[in-house]
Amino acid sequence: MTVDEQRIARELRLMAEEAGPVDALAYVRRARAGLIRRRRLSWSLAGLVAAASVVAVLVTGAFGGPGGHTAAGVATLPDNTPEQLRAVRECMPKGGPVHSMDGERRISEHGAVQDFRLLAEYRDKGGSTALIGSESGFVLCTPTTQPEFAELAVFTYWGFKAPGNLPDISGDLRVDAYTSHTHRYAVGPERLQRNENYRVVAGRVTAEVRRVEIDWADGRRTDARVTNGFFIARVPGKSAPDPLGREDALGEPLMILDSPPVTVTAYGTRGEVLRQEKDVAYGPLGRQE
Amino acid sequence: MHPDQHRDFTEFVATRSDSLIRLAYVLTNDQHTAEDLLQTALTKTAAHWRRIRDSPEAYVRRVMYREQVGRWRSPRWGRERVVQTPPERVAHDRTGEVDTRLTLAQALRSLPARKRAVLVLRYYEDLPESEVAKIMGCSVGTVRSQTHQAVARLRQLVGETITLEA
Repeated sequence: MTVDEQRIARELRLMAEEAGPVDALAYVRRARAGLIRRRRLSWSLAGLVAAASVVAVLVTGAFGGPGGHTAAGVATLPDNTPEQLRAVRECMPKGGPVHSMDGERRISEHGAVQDFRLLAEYRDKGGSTALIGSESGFVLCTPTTQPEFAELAVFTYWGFKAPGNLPDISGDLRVDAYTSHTHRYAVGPERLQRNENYRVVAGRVTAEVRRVEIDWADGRRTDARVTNGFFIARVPGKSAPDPLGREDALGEPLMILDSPPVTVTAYGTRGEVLRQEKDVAYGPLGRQE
Repeated sequence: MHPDQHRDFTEFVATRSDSLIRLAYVLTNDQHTAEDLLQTALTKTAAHWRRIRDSPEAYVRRVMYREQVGRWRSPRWGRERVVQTPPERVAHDRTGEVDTRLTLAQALRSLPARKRAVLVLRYYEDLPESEVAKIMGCSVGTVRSQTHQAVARLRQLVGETITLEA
């Protein structure tokens, strides 16, 4: 069959229809953020030195102004080191956050890799979990040496509501996540899958806060890792029989992650309690109020 | 950016983003790459908005073309990508029309970026050769030869005779 230029044009138009829609306002926001970064790059060396001090003030003081608000925006979040950027990229192999039920489906309005910073990371002998955030929201990342088993980068708006309330911390402490994350990997020639479940708590504090403690309500207490006004902590999860008495496919009692409500306490410079959140309920990432 | 300019820029992106992402997609043949290409182009557009606000779309188009072709020229840009699932083969037991469409689609997707771009500008954007020459930063003669080469390669890939106006 003869193929002419109309056929080529038609084929290109069919191809164009495969393009997914985009969030125009998110593109405008990132274009303007990029503009800010471009301008910064064009500053003189002296200007950069001065700017660096200004940014340092913003970063260190951003989260504890008199009103208890951060001055955050992506422009004032600390830049990633090359190692952190690599961690962010590994966390988002699709180039950005993905759908919670479909890891192949990137949700572009939730941002791209370049929008995210590694804000805080909790390490223990089992590995690590990081809080990685942008101006709008965050994801949790638990690195694994076997990427095919990695947790999905599921996005949650700061404050559980679009467009995200990053600067707003009322009362020195805001708990943004109490959830679970799993380090999955396969072992042996039969590639048997292993799951190490962790209970994770993450959030934001003002500059007055020196220490954040999590009471996991099972006898364990953990000091969170606090970095630039963001914190994260985790403990290995424990399994417990389903309180509803359900059974699994083999007829055995169904075991679930024991996840009672936790208490999160923020302490000041003299060890005084600045704020305490009790009965923080477990919940999935990606939810919105 | 002045508030008035910001408003104009936002309105431009809001009204043209659907069209622009489709153009980015036919240039890149990949949704994620297309989104990154569009974002890069819009960031550059925002930086020069005051100067190009009278014809921003032409500027975006030019940036996207040059970014895509320049990116492909970079030694870091691999021509082959590793994918988890191999693409499906052409179904030869379908009707001739479907076979032709699939074959032509695959041929277009397998063209190098520069060759696909010139076809996109000429036949998808339906731009005159003089306009394509401005975007590509070359002469009209080069546009003609590039188009001819792209079509010849397409003909080779499809394995059929393709007739085009001179």
